Amino acid sequence: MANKDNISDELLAAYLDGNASKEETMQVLEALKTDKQLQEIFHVALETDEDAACITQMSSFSDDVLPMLQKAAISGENICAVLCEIFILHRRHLPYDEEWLLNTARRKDWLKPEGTPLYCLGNLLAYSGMFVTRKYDSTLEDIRRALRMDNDVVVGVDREKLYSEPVDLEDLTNHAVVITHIDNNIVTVFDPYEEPYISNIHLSDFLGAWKESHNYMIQVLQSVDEYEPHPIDVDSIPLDGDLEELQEAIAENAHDVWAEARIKEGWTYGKERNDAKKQHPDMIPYTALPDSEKEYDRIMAFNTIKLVKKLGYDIVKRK
Amino acid sequence: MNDQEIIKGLIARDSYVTQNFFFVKCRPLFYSVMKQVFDYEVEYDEMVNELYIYLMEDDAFKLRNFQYRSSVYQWLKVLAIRFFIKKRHRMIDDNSNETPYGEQDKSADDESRKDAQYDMERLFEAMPTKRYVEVIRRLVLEDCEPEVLAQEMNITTANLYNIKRRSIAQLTRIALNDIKAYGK
Repeated sequence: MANKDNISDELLAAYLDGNASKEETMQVLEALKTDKQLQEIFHVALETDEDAACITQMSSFSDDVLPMLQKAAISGENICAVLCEIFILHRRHLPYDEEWLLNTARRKDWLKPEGTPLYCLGNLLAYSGMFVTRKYDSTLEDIRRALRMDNDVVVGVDREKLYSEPVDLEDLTNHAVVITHIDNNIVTVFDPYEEPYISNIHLSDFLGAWKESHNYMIQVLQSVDEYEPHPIDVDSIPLDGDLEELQEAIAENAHDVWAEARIKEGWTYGKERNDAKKQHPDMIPYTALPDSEKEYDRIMAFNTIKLVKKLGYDIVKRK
Repeated sequence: MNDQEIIKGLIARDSYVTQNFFFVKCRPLFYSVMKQVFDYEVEYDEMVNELYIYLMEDDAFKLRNFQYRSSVYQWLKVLAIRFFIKKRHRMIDDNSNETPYGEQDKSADDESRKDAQYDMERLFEAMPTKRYVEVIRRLVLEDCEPEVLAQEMNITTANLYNIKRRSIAQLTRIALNDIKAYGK
């Protein structure tokens, strides 16, 4: 009978990483049957959202929460997102050094121990001087339009659903692919982990797999003139009374931050805006701003708070 | 930074590695673990400082004995979970001499071996993703080389590594559910 004291942290970690031997695996499972502490350790280990990048608490995922923290890759060795970006550089005949790009992604923390979070997709391309836009809730028409403009498109998908493989219990975005073509019911993708790398996927499989990322796509523009802002739709997010107070505080602070930066650049108050003299009519305290100007800051604050909630965070007031 | 560099830096008390890896990069991990272990509010910084002291005690004995059988991150996760659970029970074992695996008593009688094998087959039966069962069977039970299996499955080794971890997670979930269902 396995003794719980024999199960070292090293062995537990090796087991969780799938590196334990047959005997060790059986030893762990045997101990798990009777060792309450071990059961709790595993329970916590499985539930711990490793990236949990939840410096604030993350709500449980629901349909209305964007999976920005999910990875377009699951393990430390899975670098599909980086390989997709390299593929785009290659396609555009731009010089690149694969090792350097990988190291850059790791150094800048875009490639995390558990993979590349969706919000970091495309960072290497942007770092290489390309214009990258990111968008949730995209449509097939968005992809088609991008391809027509000869832009490159990367999407976050659930790999198992993409290839109609048995679906595991974890429904999440765990892979990135480049879309190269869409034709009627067929979506052609570049998948760095699926030889021969270019595959034709049935549209319904693609849509099922793509849905897991809330239809997240990044688009690499050919020119900055094509840039069209697409703020995340936060209309469905309610704000309770406390957060409305927070909205006013954020709005006022945003104005102060703006004014402080302008003062450092030499701007002063002027009845009318004069860029040459560095004068601006809003260089006054927030409380003195006309309502029309306050409204601008309030809308920004309002949308920021809603966005925080939409991205799966809760805002909790300390007592 | 790779795992070797992280371990080396932590042992050497390199301020860059300690600050950036342990106190910054691992912050979300520790936060998430604490949230699950404690059902009451705890002082994050105080707890993490204690964890750091625990990790570094006896001239960083634990770090010096790390055998790289998993990623550093996975190991730290397990270490942190165990530490916080013990902390919660106010029974932290001051003896940091975690028995190195190689010195453990590996003996188990034949009967329990058979039981364990039987249990494992039962868990496999209950696993919904048969592909995962196959991965565990080949990699863990048959000790197949990952490169060979990856080739058989027509996937890359890196992707197999990914699938392997998910397979183990599913197996463990099933084992935990099994215990719950049978009240073991």
